[in-house]
Amino acid sequence: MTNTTAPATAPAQGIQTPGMQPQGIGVPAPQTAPTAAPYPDIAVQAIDLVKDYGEGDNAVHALRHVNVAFERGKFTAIMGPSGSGKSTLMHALSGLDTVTSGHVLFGGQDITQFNDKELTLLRRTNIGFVFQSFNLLPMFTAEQNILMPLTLAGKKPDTQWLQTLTTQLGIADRLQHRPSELSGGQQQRVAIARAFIAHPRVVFADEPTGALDTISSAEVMGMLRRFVKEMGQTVIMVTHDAAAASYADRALVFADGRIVADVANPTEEGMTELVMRQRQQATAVLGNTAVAD
Amino acid sequence: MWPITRGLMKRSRRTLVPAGIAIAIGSLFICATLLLGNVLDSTSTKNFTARFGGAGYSVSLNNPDDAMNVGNDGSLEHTLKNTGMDQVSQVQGVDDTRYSLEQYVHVVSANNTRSLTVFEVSAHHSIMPVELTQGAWPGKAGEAAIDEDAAKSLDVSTGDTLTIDSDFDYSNTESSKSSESSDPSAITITVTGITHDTDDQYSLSGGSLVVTPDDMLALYKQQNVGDDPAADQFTHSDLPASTIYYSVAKGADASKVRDDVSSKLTGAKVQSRSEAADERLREMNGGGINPITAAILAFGVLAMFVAALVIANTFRVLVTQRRRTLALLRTIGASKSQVHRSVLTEGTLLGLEYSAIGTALSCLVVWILDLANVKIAGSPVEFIPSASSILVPIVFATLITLLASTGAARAATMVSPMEALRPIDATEKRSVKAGRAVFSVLLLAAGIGLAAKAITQANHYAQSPSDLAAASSSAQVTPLICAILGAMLSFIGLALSSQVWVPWVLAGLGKLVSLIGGASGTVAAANIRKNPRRVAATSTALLIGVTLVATVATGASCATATVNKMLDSHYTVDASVTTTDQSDSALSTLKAVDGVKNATRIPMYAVQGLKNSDGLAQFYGTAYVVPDSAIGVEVADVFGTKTLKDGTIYVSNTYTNYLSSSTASLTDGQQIDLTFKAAPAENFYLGVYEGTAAWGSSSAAQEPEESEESPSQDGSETESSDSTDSDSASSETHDNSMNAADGLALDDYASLPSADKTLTVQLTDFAITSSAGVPMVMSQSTAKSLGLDSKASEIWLDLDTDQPASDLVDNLTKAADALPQAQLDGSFIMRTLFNRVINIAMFTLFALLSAALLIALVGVANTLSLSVIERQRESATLRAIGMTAGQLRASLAWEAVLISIGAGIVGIIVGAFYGWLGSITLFVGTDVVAAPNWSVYLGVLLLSLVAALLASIAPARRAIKVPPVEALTEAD
Repeated sequence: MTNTTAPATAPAQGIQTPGMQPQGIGVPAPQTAPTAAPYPDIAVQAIDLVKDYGEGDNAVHALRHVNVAFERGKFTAIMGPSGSGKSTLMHALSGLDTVTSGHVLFGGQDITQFNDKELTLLRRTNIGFVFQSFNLLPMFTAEQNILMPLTLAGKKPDTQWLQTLTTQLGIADRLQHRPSELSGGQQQRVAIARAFIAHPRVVFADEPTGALDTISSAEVMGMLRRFVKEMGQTVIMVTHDAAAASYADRALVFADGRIVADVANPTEEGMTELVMRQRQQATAVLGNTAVAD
Repeated sequence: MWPITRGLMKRSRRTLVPAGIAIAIGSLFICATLLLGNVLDSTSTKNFTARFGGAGYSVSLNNPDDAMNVGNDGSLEHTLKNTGMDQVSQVQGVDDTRYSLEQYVHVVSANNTRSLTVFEVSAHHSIMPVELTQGAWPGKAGEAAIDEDAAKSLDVSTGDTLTIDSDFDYSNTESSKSSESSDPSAITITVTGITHDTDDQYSLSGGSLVVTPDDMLALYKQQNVGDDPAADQFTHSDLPASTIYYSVAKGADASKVRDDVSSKLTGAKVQSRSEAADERLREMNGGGINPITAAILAFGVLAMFVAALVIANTFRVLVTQRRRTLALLRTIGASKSQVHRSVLTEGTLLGLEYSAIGTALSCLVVWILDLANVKIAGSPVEFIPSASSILVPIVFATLITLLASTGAARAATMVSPMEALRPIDATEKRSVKAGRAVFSVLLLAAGIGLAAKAITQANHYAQSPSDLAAASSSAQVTPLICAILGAMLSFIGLALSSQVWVPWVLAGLGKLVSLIGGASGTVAAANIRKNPRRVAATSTALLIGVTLVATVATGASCATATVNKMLDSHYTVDASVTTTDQSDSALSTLKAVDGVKNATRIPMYAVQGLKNSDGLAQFYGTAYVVPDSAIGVEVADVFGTKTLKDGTIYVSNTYTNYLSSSTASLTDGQQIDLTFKAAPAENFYLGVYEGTAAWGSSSAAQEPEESEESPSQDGSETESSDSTDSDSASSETHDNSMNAADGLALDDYASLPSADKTLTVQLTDFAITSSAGVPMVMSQSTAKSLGLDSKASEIWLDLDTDQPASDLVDNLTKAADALPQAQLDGSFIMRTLFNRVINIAMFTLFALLSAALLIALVGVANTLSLSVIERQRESATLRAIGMTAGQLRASLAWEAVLISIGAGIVGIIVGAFYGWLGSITLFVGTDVVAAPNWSVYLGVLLLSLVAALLASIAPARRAIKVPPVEALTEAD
């Protein structure tokens, strides 16, 4: 796994930002040819994704020809204001939602051609989710919730892996409790365990700290980062929390359906400033175009 | 608030459809019942109003049934004269009048005789209840118009003469073929016209004969002069005050005429046609609604009750779904009462809308039946809409809906404004209120206690039926009342506490389902655990339906089993045919019937058992000569041997039924003296009993009736010919007349070949109720030793009881009908007939219960669709983490299966118990067989299962249509 440490270089395809040259860290020149570095292992890749809602005057362009690739074993954060399209991108990458045009390559397979069953199986075995509102099933215990993807697959649980996960997450002693008996932070950790139980290729996290206090947030982010660094997992996280983004290896900034910044090794202050400047420019140049999230 | 309510209603239209369907079904049922009740009433009164003919009014006594009352002095209390009714025809404006007195007369024509109903022709021949098709109405004495069918059977037409006799002695003749009238005062009349009975009023009384008032008077005198000599001097006005019908002249003021007529009357009243019909209806229905309609309506009420459960459930969920909106409304200023009223308004409007639909549909269906001339129970269906038949279902259903929504309305007021500000996870984990739990336990206990009491009482009576006969009438029905009350109370207790035990039952089943259903099953079981209240409400609705079906089915199966057992003790022969046809062709005809395995001729002898010194009274019976080959085939193996012993007479244990109770009993091995007679087949029955005439004074005679016969006649061991001479004298006269009529003259009987024999008694379980007197069996060799040649025999059949019973019975009946004077009897026949009746009753009840059951199944569909909506987020999560669409569908199907099987099994168990309880207390005094009705149990379980599965299809499709991402995004 190669690590590009040089600032302002994004791997593979560049980011298209026609008509927009935001200043900031790590904006590459458009149409940059691929570097001569060894071809990195791509976990998931978006190719010319377009997602529109509605028609005519009321049309909402959530994704406008987005191209991006995500490396394996990396922790990537996708940031941007509400309605910028970041969640939409994540839904498209994970097969939760369809796209109007374009392709998503997941482990080399074009999942935009998959039918519902194939997508479901993909999500079952290759993808893990962590949601903002935890989305645990209230009528099952923590352990049952964690094992749910395997139960759905009819597979026997790997008790060793379960043990490892829950110990790492610090919830090993709460496994028989129902979600209503757990704190927010504990619930999210249960959700994380659920996301990793099936050894997925990629884990998508949608605002994982959105419902947590600062301490729990820090705990959760730390655990996610540890999973990436120590176990080589790939995590793609959507967040508007700059502090959360600082845990990632790479941060993308979304605005109006496009990626407008691509930063390696983001810091909290840097990302905050970037997003703020992005917003200023957006309101100044683009007016009040409605966007979707 | 109304615009808001309207907006809310528009959004929830789809959710409320199942509840609406439940309302529609209930109101459809009620409306149909009322409409058909109208048809019933109309048919019942038709016969009554048809008597009006073309008349618009009737004049009758205040109590019309008093018309024939006779006072202490033997004369009529109410006559046309003393009521003023003879003046009606004179009133100005009255057009035609008809006096309605009817008499039953014996009519003799050249070729035939017949009994007819005779009544007067109306004054101007216009308001007759029958139609003149040929000739003319009678104009003077000695003329009459006769009904066309009667004319055909008497073989007369216009111009022919008849004699009519209203004082005919019917007891004097057996055969109607006698063409001699024995009464010289018979009146001769000439047929002037032929009539047609349009409304079929007189067919049961033979047909109508219309005469002039003069002849009517003459007939009346003829009949009554014997009782009241004064009648000989009667004029027409002295006749009884039977109803007079009148019509109003054209141009006359009907109400003025009515008043004028009334002024002439004393103790009598004028009624219009409709008034008379209404009064009649009221009388028939006991002042209220037609009892049949009322009974069926009870099922409609039941159906609406089940619908109420479904509606309450739906509204509760609706309110839960709307929590956010309701909280918002409260935040911005809606008061609690406004919110309350909003829900109630929605309920009322829903009730109005769907009950109107149901009522309209019902009217449509009945109207179509009317157009198609469909007949129900023999009478044609007419669409007779009445105000009550339209309003009652609508009002009732709306009221029920309103009541059902009150719970949810109250819940809506308890939504606090704060819920608008933060998301609340709506889980209904409210535990059952303590008070309600205690109340339901009390009800259950009370119900079970009453049931136990009923069971012990019924058992006691079953063991000792004599106690039952001795008990007062109120004590006799106590077990039944206890049973009914016990069942009702315990069931209500069960229903009220459903929130407690349903989850428990379903949890147990759920574990099973988790094992076999994989992930889908696990999710389904967990979902049911999550919402006990809603699941319990749904299960209760289904429980009611299934319990009722199981109760009815079990009652029917217990009745059937009990009847069969009783029949078996009375019949040891599958089927027997008695016929005067003694030929072999009769035997082969019967043998040829499909399902008849074997047939044998069984010769019979008339037997008289002599009184003996051991106190055995004289008895009469039939001895059947049974070939050994028939044992175990045509007759059950009850003789204890496959070869009948010579010199033995096998006497049926039922012999006590044919003897008076105070006779000594027979014992095995006892020697008794018997006289055998070979009576002819035509008179075998009489041949047995008419021994009394032949043996007249030579031995003590007694009427061989049932054992209730006065024991004073016998009982004493001595042959007291003195006391019995008078008896024999009177019985002799009686017997003489019967013999004479039958052709078996006294002398004939005495000349029948007979033989005396002393045989050894062996009591046996052989039973056959078609026998004349005590049934007995003897071997062929014993019969041969008598030296007689039997002139009578029965044919006994061995049937293939595996064949469909109904067809077999029908085929046998048809074959038997072809034989002269044939009678079909036997255990199989009776069993099949009884079973038919029981099954018809059972299926009728099922049909009536179908509405309630249907609504319950709609409730299951409802619950499923509501739960899908409630669980959108969870379903989306599951889909996101890898649950396929098929698995999601399966989990909903499993949920449906769980609810239906859970409610089904409990309902069957409870219903079977109630059915058995009802049987033992309804047939109290009999040893009722407890017989579960497995086929119905299985059927209803399967039906519920299939229906529930079908019900899960639409909700499943809706659940899958929502892409996972839509539900995962934060709710707004």
